[in-house]
Amino acid sequence: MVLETFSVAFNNIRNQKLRSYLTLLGIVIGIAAIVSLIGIVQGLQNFIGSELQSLGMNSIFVEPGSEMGMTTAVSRSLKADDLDVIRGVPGVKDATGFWETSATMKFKDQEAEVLLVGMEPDKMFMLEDMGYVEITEGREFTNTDMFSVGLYSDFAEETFDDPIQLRQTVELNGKKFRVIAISKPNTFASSFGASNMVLVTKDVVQKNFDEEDPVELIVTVNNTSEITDVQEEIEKRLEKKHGSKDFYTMTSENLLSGADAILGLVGLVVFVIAGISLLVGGIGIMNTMLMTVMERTREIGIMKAIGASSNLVLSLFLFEAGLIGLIGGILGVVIGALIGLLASVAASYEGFPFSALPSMELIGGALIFSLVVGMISGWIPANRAAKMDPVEALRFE
Amino acid sequence: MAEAVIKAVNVVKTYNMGLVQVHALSGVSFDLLKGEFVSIMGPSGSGKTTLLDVLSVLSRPTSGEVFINKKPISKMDDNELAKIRGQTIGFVFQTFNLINRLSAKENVMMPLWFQGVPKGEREKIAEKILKDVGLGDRINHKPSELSGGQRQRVAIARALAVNPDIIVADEPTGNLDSVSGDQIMDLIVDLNKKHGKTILMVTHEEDIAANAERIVRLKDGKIIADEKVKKKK
Ligand SMILES: Nc1ncnc2c1ncn2[C@@H]1O[C@H](COP(=O)(O)OP(=O)(O)OP(=O)(O)O)[C@@H](O)[C@H]1O
Ligand SMILES: [Mg+2]
Repeated sequence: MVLETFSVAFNNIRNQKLRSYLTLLGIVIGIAAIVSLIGIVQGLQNFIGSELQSLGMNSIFVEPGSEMGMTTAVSRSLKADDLDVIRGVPGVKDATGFWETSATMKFKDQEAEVLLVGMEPDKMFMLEDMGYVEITEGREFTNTDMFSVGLYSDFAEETFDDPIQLRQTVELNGKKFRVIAISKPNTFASSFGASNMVLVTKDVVQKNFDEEDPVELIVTVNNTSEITDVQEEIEKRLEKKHGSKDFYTMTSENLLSGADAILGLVGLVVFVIAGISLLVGGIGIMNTMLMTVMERTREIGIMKAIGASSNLVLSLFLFEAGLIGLIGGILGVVIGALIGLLASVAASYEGFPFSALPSMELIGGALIFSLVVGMISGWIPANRAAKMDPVEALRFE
Repeated sequence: MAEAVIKAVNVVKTYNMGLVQVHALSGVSFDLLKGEFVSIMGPSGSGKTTLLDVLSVLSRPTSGEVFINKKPISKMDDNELAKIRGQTIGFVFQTFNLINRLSAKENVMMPLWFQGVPKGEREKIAEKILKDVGLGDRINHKPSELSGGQRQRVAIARALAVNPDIIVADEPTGNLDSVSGDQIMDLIVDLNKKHGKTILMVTHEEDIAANAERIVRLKDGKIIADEKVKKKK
């Protein structure tokens, strides 16, 4: 019986072609907006979440500059001996830093600008824990590795015409270095455009390139529950040492909630836009259904005369309205998913490998929602049809 | 004496037209007995259609009571009235009132759908009845592809679909030429004589009305005559 109400409703919709299709537009736009934008937001959230998760929830990052500016490249306010201060803070498990400088790499007569990232060999496990480095070929760095480099596999393969192999020699600003390690690509770094990172020891940067101070410090704490206290203490001691707050600290949590706040705002805007188009769509469905009920007055009279109950008439028109909504929803989901797909492709092309395709929950939710919007919009017209007096309806010309 | 399948007691039907009140029926009492064929006659505006609507529970009287198989309709809700219209009474209208989008078969299937009959069975019943009324070769035609007489046959087939005891017809030949009209009347007489249907028919043609065994005459919303038809030999 339900199935048949459905198929009758469907035939009725098919019979009015253009008007129904126009009615669909608002719902289609609304659902497409919801599906694509929530898909993108969820994709970004998952992406950022998993990237930050891999950095570890017990990490504190100390960055130069102020939180607002985020001008890490320019300001070099952190000092090498800041690490000694940090290591003295209670609750700190480990601390290390990155020493960075740019250099020209030469390999078989080809040159490329690279970003040398110097790290402390005995703290390399921290970077490995956070997923910055995962050596697949070669060996770990030691303190005596003054002319050794480690390469990310994507960099090694793609930078020059010939791929760089383990144990081959490259030149950095004219000096010869040997490739002692190949690491899995670092998606987090490459997603922020640093696809030309080359790993060396901090001594290389300090002695060969005269960059005494680190650009970023990474701290791990013993106990995740104390992370905020440790963060505050580090800030206090460093500020005292520097004489001003020319740095800022962040935890994975801070980053995550910052990202969430921005995405939440985007989500809010999406909901407003989608809400408006769904409202317009709903009013459109209501209008169409009111016209349909009017036009089919006589038919409603006939149906009632030959035994249709008010409830059946009600459900028939509710189904029809719901179906218009659902068809709009299906089209909207398809269009929204296509937009999400395009966004994913564009994003991974730009180095953000995330999926903006809608989840099954999102698709299911959107479809149910469109059905419900249709039925709510159809409520008044369907009631009007159900309450119609059969005699009056039969007299209707 | 046979029992009354429809009984009207002092039925009044008033339409409110703004300030003016139209008394379409002013105190009509009437019994339709099981197996009877009754014609209702009267001048235009005398309340024939209104009476038919009230007797077939398509509308409720303003006052008075209508009994269907002895049950008062004032105690029934709208869904129960719908059930009576769907199971006990079959309607035939002057203007056919078919649904133009649907084929003859689909039109006939519709009242069965309301009674929850499964689709396969509905199709079988509809096809059989359409054959019985002589439209076996028009089953899938739309109303617009049929003549007036054929449309009225579809409407009669639809009225018969649920096999109701009572057939109610409001000027069933009113929109037909005399040849098709006679054919439709033959069909209706057959329903009464051969199939035992109780028939209540409105008409304003004497010779059509004479097909019935009893004629009720209305004027200004009142019954002015109720007499047996003298059978012509
Ligand atoms: N819905 C309505 N609203 C107002 N007045 C109505 C309504 N229906 C019928 N009437 C009035 O009630 C009276 C009886 O109408 P009804 O249709 O029953 O007459 P009838 O005998 O069937 O006439 P006809 O032979 O022309 O079909 C008429 O005066 C008509 O104008
Ligand atoms: Mg009439």
